[in-house]
Amino acid sequence: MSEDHRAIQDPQTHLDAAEGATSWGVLAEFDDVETLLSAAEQVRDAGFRRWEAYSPFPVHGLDAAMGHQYTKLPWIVLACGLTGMLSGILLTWYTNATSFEGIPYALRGYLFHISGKPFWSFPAFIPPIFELTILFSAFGAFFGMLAMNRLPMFYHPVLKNLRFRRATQDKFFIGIEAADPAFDSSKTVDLLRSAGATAIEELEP
Amino acid sequence: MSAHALGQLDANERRTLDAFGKVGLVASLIIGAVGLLAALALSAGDWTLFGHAYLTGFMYFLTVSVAALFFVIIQHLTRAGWSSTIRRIAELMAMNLPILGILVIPILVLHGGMYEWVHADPSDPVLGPKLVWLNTNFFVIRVVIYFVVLISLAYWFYSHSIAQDTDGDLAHTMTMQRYSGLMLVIFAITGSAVAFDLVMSLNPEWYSTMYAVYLFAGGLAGFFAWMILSLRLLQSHGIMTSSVNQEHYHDLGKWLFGFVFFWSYVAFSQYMLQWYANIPEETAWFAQRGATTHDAVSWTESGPWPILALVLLFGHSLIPFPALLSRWCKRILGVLTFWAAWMAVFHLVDMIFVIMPAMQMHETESTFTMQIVIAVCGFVGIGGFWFASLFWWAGARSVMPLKDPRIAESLAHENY
Repeated sequence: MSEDHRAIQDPQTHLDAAEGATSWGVLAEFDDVETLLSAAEQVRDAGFRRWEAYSPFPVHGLDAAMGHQYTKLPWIVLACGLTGMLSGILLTWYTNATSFEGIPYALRGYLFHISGKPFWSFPAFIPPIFELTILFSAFGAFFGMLAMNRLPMFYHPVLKNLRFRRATQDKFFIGIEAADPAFDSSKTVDLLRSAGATAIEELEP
Repeated sequence: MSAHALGQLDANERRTLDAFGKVGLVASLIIGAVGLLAALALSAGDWTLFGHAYLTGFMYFLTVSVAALFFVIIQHLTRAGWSSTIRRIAELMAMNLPILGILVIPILVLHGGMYEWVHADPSDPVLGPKLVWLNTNFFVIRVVIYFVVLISLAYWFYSHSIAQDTDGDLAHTMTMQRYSGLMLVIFAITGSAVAFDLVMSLNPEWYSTMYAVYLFAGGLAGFFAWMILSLRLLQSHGIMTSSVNQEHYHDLGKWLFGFVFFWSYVAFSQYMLQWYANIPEETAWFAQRGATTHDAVSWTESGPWPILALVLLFGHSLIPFPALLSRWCKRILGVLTFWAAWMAVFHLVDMIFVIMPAMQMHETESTFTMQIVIAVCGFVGIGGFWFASLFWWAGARSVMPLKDPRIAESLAHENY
């Protein structure tokens, strides 16, 4: 291990050096899944809210260790789906089964006999209603997921960190934001170190 | 988390049926005999009625067993890990095809009174040309071929899986994976032909190219319902208590939900096209079942069938769809078991809807209620023998493929 690395590995030295500068938070590196999981539990139990764990592959039980609540996304999708269904019903009803006087001709529904069926002919309308339900649900799922993850995000402080590149290789990380109410520079570093972090670095904004 | 490590078999777990299997075998045989005798007694010599009721029960369990075979093939085709602990149950259900191959004999005997094409006039402009395919000799030959093919497929997967229990040879898994694509093609052709020959030809003037998919979708919903119910039954008797957990039920619940919706999609597609075209020889099938928007036909001429059509629409589609939509409904075992039982019942309603209205083409003294009661007796009768066969195949064997290479993956399975 190089001299340079050892310097970074002593968290206190590194943090002292950066004292005074505005810090975005700290990044702790872990060697294996077990340490990451137990560290996540300790960070969770210490009451942190604004933090994230990073791993090269999905880790079973990490959600629970981080204290994640189950996503609210399904409710957004359900609401969008129902909106789509209602829109589909209104669309087919207005365009095929109504023709209101007083509305400009170009915008008015058009009563048109098709195949001898009634104007309001539900089986024929199910395909567009179904498609609009699916379309709106998909929009809700896709854009809802982006919004809830605050995406698209063009920059994140961890990406500037050289050590963090191994998050897609063989290392596990926990990043805690300084903006977290429970954050206290030295105590947070102590917590991460006692949780088994092999290296702790400060993140610039 | 239980005492054993993640991904490792619990040494204290029971994985054979033992006494429960023997009691189950005898009880199923008694229930089956009682059901078939009740159907015989109630139909009182009306062999056409008995034949239709028998076919209803028969098709119920044939679609479930065929769906079980499909499930086994799909697991190997996709190299699925999550399902390893529960795959043996599907293999056993597919191995009920031999008993169904024996139980098909009464249908071959009674088919003269059931299928209109047996007595069709060769000069008939609609039916005449179809008699090249639909004639007694060729029908019997085809049914024999179908069962030989389906039983061979089921036995091939079953024997490899059983052999792996003893030798633990990875080659079994590799072989099954290598040929699963070919098996799926053979399965699809045979399964579709079974649906066309045994059920669709009850109304030989009518045709629907979606018919095989319709039966297949309903059969899979029925299969996943029975899969969930069987696992719950086994676990309540202390078998596979730690190897099968909430995660596996959750995935089975997803399959069940998927096929509830797929059935609705196919059923509607089949209906909508023929409703829209409004051609008499096509709409006749739906009119006979009361599934029509034509008021005069639906509420006066077809008797109570429109009510059954509505019960099917709501019970097989509109009610279970939102009920199974949520993740939590699939993860709370009591709730999932309820909807599995619900779908097991509505697969029967589907089979009654498909088969029993064909009785209107025959002279019969029986009432609507009587036809339904006898169809349920036929279902209980075939079901009894089907379960007896299931217990027999399970026998003293493990109900889990113990040395499957993906068993650890299945034990550690988790849904995100």
